[in-house]
Amino acid sequence: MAIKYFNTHDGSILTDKTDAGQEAVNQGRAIAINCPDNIEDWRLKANLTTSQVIVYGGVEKNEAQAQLQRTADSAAVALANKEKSDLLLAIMEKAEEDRKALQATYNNSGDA
Amino acid sequence: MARLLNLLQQKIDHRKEGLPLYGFLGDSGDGNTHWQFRIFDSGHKIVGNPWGGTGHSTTHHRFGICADAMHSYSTNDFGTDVTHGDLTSQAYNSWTIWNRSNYQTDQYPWAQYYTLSRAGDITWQSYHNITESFEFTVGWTKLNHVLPEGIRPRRLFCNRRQTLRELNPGNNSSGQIGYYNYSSHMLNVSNTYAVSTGYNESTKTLVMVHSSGETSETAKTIHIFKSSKDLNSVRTIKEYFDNLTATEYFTDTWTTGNNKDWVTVVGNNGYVGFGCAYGNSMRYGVFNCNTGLSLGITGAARQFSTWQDFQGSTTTRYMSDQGNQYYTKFNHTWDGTWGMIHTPYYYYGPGLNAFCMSLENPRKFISVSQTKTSRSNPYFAWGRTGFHGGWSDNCDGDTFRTYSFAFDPNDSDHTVTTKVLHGQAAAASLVGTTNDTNIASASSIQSGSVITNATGVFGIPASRTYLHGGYYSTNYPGMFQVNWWGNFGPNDMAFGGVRN
Repeated sequence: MAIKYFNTHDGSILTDKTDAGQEAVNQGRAIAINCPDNIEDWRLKANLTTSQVIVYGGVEKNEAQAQLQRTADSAAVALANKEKSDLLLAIMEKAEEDRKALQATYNNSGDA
Repeated sequence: MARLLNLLQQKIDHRKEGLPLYGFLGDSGDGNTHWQFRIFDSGHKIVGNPWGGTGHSTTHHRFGICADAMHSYSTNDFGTDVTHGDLTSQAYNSWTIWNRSNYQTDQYPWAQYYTLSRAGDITWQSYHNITESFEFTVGWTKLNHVLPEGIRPRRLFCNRRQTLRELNPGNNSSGQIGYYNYSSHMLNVSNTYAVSTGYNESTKTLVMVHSSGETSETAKTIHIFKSSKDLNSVRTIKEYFDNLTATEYFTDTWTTGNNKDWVTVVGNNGYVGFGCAYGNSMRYGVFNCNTGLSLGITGAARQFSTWQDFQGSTTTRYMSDQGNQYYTKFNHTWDGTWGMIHTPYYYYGPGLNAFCMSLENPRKFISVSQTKTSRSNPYFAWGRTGFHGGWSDNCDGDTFRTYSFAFDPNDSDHTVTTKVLHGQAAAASLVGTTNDTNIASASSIQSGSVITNATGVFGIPASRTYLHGGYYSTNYPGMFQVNWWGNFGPNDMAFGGVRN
């Protein structure tokens, strides 16, 4: 285990250097957390509520496995976003069709 | 009348630009349904005329405007997805995604993949030959310039072996403007490969690092040339060297992964910062390059303090060893008072590992860290004395943000801490929301940090711009480098007063 320092603004990792990290802690810019060994820094993030470290992919995964998981997670988010986007687009197109139909009805009603 | 005379006698530098702008692209992902391009200033106010297109056909409006054959819908060469792709660990050949790389931009007004006018006209270069283009092969030979307020390099000098060349600025293979072999002016020619060169326009000082090779060789000879002529004003390079007023050198042994990564920052006070990517980390050292002080010909006699390793978090990050285009970059603030030697944090593009230093006094420096590993954007000069960029997360239902930070232009004393001002990550005001907040001391600055010189590190929070992303649903906006921010003028007085 080793102490690492995390930004208080978003829980992202700041440094593993004691001097720089402790200065940030003293100023309220960082918190210090004991972290498991042999985990790449990019996989570490602080839970600012519990002051516990979150390891992306879990400690049992190695970096390659964690990257695979992130690729899958990223694709899942992108797909969910696309589905939402397509749904919104379909709703807007339907609304436009309804508006045109309403306009046509209105135009044919003789009131135009 | 006196004021009029003063005005007439004032020398106008036509290179001087207004405050930094950036291009902002939002689209629907397929590039066919919706595409919007806007230009914003440093206050995130729109300038110029936005343009865009919507449609559901394969003959999209955008291709006509941009002549963009690279990302077109049906006749695509390299995919349609200019902004929605997620840059994580990909290299340059993930073409559309690598638009987002931290390696795209530096102090020069163009990017590696495109050029963008102030009017918002963007054109990408042909990816078909990009691996042999200037930045991909010898961009690392460009000079690192320290320039007056509001000026970016407008002449392109490249130094390799013992020849200084001048080229037409940009990424191209058009004919050279000129060249000069300066070896007859060197006092020591034991190392013949120029690997890094810095120039300070106000002191007309050129500092070159020569090594015994262009890979990981450690031997170094550092030459300091001072001239009565400004390199950026001479008609030929020879003119600069014909008018040298001082030449000194020193030798040293510097270890790094690849010599192409060295960046040379010539401070106004004669101290020079040398920095580079080093493994997954970076290193930075400062040497006294003032002439006429009998400082000697060894690095040890001239070095200020010791080599400083980057103090932020590091992880796998690539550099020149993986390809010439991944060389360590140099950028500077609009007012030319602060510089930044930077690489990404992660692989080939996301995040930021940087040393920021006072260009008045490079002995004043700190580490700056941003540890994003995906959804990134490049970093640009921002406002009067700052930088921003680095964020491209989904703006669907949220405001667009940048990682912005700024320095004090008069803060150049390396014996005191450095104040860094930043924005708010949460939806909050920069000015105290209660009426009892005064900025009384360095430790109580609102939205700022106080960083110890050399060994301190600043982690950048994201700042809300309150801009929407340019598309009503999923969008991951792209930030782009503008090649001319416009003539300096009345609108630029908004930054808080003319410094000089």
